[in-house]
Amino acid sequence: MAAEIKAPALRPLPLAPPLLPGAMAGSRPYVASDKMQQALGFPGELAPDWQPKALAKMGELLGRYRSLRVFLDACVHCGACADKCHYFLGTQDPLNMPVARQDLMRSVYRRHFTLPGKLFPRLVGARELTREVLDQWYTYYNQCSECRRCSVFCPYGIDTAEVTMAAKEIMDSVGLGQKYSNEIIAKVHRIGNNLGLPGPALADTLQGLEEDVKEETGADVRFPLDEAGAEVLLVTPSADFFAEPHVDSLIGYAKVFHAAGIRWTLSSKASEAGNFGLFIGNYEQLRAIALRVREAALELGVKRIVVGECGHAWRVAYSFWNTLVGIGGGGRDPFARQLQQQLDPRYRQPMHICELTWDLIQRGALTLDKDANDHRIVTYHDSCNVARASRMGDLPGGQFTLPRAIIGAVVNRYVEMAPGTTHEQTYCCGGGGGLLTDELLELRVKGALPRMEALRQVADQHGVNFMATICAICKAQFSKVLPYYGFKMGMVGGVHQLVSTAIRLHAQP
Amino acid sequence: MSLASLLFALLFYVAAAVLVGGLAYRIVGYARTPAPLKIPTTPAPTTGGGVVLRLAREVLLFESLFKGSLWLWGLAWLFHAGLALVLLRHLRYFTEPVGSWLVFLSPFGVYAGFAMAAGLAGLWLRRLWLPPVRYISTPSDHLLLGLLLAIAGSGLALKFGVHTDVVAVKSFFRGLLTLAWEAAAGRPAAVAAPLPGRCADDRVPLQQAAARAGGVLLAVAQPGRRPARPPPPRALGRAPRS
Repeated sequence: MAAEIKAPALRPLPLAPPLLPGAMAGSRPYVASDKMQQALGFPGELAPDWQPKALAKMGELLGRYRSLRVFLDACVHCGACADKCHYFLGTQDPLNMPVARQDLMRSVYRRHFTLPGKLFPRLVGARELTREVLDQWYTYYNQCSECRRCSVFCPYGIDTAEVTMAAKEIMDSVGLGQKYSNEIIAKVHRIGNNLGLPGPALADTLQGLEEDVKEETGADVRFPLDEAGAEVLLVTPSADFFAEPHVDSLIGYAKVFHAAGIRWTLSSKASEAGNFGLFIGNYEQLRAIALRVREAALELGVKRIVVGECGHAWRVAYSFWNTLVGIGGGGRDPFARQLQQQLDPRYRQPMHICELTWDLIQRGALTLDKDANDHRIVTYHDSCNVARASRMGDLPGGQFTLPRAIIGAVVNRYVEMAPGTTHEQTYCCGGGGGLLTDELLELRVKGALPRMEALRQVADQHGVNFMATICAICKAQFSKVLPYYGFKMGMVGGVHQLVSTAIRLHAQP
Repeated sequence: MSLASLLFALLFYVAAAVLVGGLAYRIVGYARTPAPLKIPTTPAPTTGGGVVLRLAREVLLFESLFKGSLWLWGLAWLFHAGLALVLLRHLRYFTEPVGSWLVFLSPFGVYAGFAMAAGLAGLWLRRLWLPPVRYISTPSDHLLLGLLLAIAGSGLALKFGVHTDVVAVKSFFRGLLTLAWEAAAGRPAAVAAPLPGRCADDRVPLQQAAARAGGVLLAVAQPGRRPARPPPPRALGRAPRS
């Protein structure tokens, strides 16, 4: 299968492509086994009475999330979102238009939950929730990376990601789960991180990194694990521990902490920033995974919680941690209050690693040699969850300016990609939302098309040879799909990888 | 009072009740549904004032749509602004005395009728013409545009074609409003004109108007984000007062 996948041709003009109905009807991720499902408390497989159960779940979600209710009611089929989805642009399958994707659920909502849909189903496009419709859900809700680009252009602010998450939650609740996401969530609970790296292996990896950095710089940069009494708990995606190019950013964080003299630690319990509970739209999983971070912070007695380069993790941390588990104020239970007593109120809680590094740069606490990055001509890819679902610093738009400010401090040659492909309108890498799995490679390659077009332009016109980003999924996805478009896989890397190259450690007293 | 007049009077009350009641039902429903996770849409304002400002830009200027598609924005704004002006102008038939601002506005309201119809026709052509939009359209989408266009068309016809006795129309509707019914004007066309409007009225609140209201509710509820600085730990240590 992998051998046949070809990247679609770049478009001469960024226009909506012609429709190819059914083009991606065969793209489906593996279904989670009954064991995997049961490990998360979901039914193992589709039971005969799945339909009433699914509808009951849908009713429950409609009463639980105002967003879902409004989004299913509000759409007027204006089509403003139609050509905004990278998966539609790359695959041309009309069911990948955000509005059509929403309608897969909206049609069922109208049939079963609204009067016009009950009385005149054909008039309002209402459909029974049949097995065929459910299969369509599984196919096309697993072709949405929950990147929220469509929501930027919707006059009602309808966020397809919320609909996708609800659909995944409903499917999980009747035993139709997605293997990749659910397997990973089970691993987080069992081992502590998405990649299933146990504590001893992690300790070993970190020790190896200390030796590598010593060899490279001569400095005793530490990678501490489970050190009680540290100032900072760093929660970072587990890919940072050994995947390329992720690990280079981890080295960057460590060098920053070292240079600034901040005592920090990783946690073997919370050795993962990612929270796939978000991707499957399950509140209980979202919370359970976030609670590990709170437990680790309480156990280690840290004063600050810092999140590494991970897109959806930062969304969860920034937007949800406060009401979810009480990090950042908002929690009402005793542990949340204990944590608030413990955390240092002079700092933002939680803090993004870019906020930390930028503060240090502004205060002149880091010695940076921009020329060390002169072999690179850099551009920056805004990761969707950071760009559209969070913020940094004190000003609106800080999530755009801070990473660029850091790059500006460590790099001489920087080029922006075309407007309309960055900042709030950034294109998804094509691998987010729990789709970063090999059986979906064709979708991932095609979904990367709009970003690759923008990259091709700056590569050809300005010789750009490095695309920095602050998301583990973006890094993994681009490493995989860049070669399909004729780029080198090493062309993508983290912002702190650039910091790591530029930072001078021996200059410290 | 003729049977036709009675029928139209009843229709008027039913339509008005569905419009107001349906909208209220939807708003209360949305307001009662919790929003446990904050899902701001970028670029999210960080202050209450910013939320109000953004909301105003979205509702009045369709800012997001402007970013999404200039053609669609132009047609949509033409229609909505036209409709707003036409509605304002129609206050002439319901208020006594007619305010001076309304007298000033009235001539513009006539042109607005054409703008509204042109916008609607453009939107409908677009829906029929563009393959992606045609693909996602349900029959009700076409029906709604047809009803609205029929309202605009019948209104313009009354203004420029079949002239009607507006004084009689006014006294009929004044009567309805004050619950002192009066026979409708001699020509049935006068009261028949708003008939498609009645149908659309019943349909609109169930979808679009309610959606707008819901969107407003949603947006108002969304400014919550991480505080720039967390509250001091002492304050959080206290038992929550509720």
